[in-house]
Amino acid sequence: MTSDLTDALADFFNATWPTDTPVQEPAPLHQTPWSEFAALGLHLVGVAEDVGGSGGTIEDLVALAVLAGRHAADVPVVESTTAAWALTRAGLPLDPSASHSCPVTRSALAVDDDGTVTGTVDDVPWGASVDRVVTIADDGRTVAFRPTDAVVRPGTDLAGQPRDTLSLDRVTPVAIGTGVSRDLLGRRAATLRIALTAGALQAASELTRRYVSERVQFGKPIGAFQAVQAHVVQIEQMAVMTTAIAERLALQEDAPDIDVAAARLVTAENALVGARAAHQAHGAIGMTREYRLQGYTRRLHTWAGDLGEQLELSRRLGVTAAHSPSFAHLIFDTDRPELRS
Amino acid sequence: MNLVPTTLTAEEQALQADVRAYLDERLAPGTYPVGLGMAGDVDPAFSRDLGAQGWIGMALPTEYGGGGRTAVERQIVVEELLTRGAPVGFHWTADRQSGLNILHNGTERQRRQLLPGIARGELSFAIGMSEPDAGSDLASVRSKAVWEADTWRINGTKIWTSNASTATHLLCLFRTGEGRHDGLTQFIVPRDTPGVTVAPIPFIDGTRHFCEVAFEDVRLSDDARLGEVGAGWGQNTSELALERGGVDRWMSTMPLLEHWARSEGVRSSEPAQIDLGRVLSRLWAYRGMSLSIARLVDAGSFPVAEAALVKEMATQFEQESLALVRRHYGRTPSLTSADPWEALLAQALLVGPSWTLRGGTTEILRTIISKGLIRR
Repeated sequence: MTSDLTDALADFFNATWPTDTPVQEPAPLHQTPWSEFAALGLHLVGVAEDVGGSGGTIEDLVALAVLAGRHAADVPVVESTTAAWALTRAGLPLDPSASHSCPVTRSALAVDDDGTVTGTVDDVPWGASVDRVVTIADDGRTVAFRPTDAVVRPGTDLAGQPRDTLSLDRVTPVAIGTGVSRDLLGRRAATLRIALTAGALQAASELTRRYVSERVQFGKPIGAFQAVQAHVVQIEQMAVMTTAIAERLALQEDAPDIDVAAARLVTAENALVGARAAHQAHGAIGMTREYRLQGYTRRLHTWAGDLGEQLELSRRLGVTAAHSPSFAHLIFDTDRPELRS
Repeated sequence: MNLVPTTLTAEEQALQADVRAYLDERLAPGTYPVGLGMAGDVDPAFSRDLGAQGWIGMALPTEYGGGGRTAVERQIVVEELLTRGAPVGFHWTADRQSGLNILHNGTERQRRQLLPGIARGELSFAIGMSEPDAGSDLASVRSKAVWEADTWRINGTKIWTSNASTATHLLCLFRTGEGRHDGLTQFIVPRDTPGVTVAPIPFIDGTRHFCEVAFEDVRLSDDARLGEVGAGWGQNTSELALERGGVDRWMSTMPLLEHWARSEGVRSSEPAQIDLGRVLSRLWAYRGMSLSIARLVDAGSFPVAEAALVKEMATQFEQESLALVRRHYGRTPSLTSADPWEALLAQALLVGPSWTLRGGTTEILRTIISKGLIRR
């Protein structure tokens, strides 16, 4: 997608997250380029302007996430835009100056009769350092709260990005409302993580192509060897395929469940295959933190896991296929059936 | 590389519904031998019926009897045919590539003479590319066409040619000069031309569609030449690109998957459901890419590297998906089983390796993709 957004943001991303240096280890939000990112309104892309967002379609948001993946941007692009979108979908006020995050996995959060919330919100990227966390409570309502009201157990993902657990005990939420389901929120976040993965695969592919053309062994660039070309081809295939999938999901504001499930599964596999091929082509240098590749492959492993349980996704797709009048038509049809549980 | 996603228009969906309705009736289960993708049975009567529907030579202009339609519309028809393992063998090559080659490179006379018959499903083309010493290294072709006394005299041997014994025409690459690439020219040879001998080469599954074609002092007029003298390599390369990007590159196993997906074995086995779901997800992704490539073709592009990129992985996945079906089967399937599905599975296991060979081996495709990447 040569989205207008991609062109307009190229300079900002190149200046903020240059691609010719090793990827920096992530940090709490105030030590990242978050304020520059938010100053451009990028934390609110895909949220309508009349409710405080920056506007833009899901296509724009996917383009932004691809770009963030390409640059290994160390800010919560997916979580901030998804949390803000969820708030407005639930009819809750959005503070455009605030930073938001939402958990990767399901929360265990009860809303008590007095309106306070109690429970655990796991796997919140930058959970301790954002202003607000948005999640879906056990009763299906959308809840926003301040991390400062929670007990924080800090953690990191495989890429070193903050991923914190927040425990709440009778906390009064900032806002609570209805209008967005856990499934809907999950599909949107998955679509954007697929886009991040596509971007990281693109960057890893370009890095690999460059390396094999410059690295000389046995008297010639290693890219001249067919055995090495096989890896170059494979990482590019994973990048092209995953990008096509992300953009395909973005053709609709709310892609069908069955397509998102297939896309999650394919992307999670592609991420691992791509990471392996890129490392194999690079050899030892790719294994070091002094070189850029690890910044991508660690993220690829993280996002592959965030896309959900692969066995469960496969099983549900398989059950859907087994109960469908035609397996082939499930692939070809424009009308999409429900994903079975 | 970039493949822009696309969806079917309402008109395209209507075509899909028409094709399904027609094939459900014309190819009632049990009335035809189910085939594996483009290696479907040779059935001239079926090809004529399909031609009468306007579903062969769809991308050819109407003035030559074609449908004047798009690559996407052709893909829609092909998807439905291959899903059913339809007997497409008679018209397959002419529909996919020979017709378009003649349209682009042939003389007006050749177009008028051959294209209407192709679109009616009456002509069957086989491809004479490989030779005993020229497989992946196709430029080493040695069969010669020599211009002598106002005719071309042809001598040599083509091998591994599918369906040559049932074809009406052979579209061959012959050497007309010394230059490795610019010494090659394409010719259209009616199969009944004196001096042409077709001998089957028994295939791994015991079938006899694979052939050796010998040319012994075959005399052809200059009308048989397709394109300029020395232009054969370029034409041949373009033809191979048409061969590679389509859904036929990941649909060989579709009838087997279709049958397996609806079997009791899958309904009662969670491991089988997990494998089936995985197959579904990847085929869904490949289909999206094939459709994008068809749109590129319709937009006038020539996506050689993109087509190779998809074929390289999709043909490998065909064999992987077959292995998944196989592991749930529980025993070795028999080629002579009274159960046609068991026999088809056995046949697929034997012929499966050919899927990553025909139309360019995996290794050759990787080289094409690498070159395409360097150029960008």
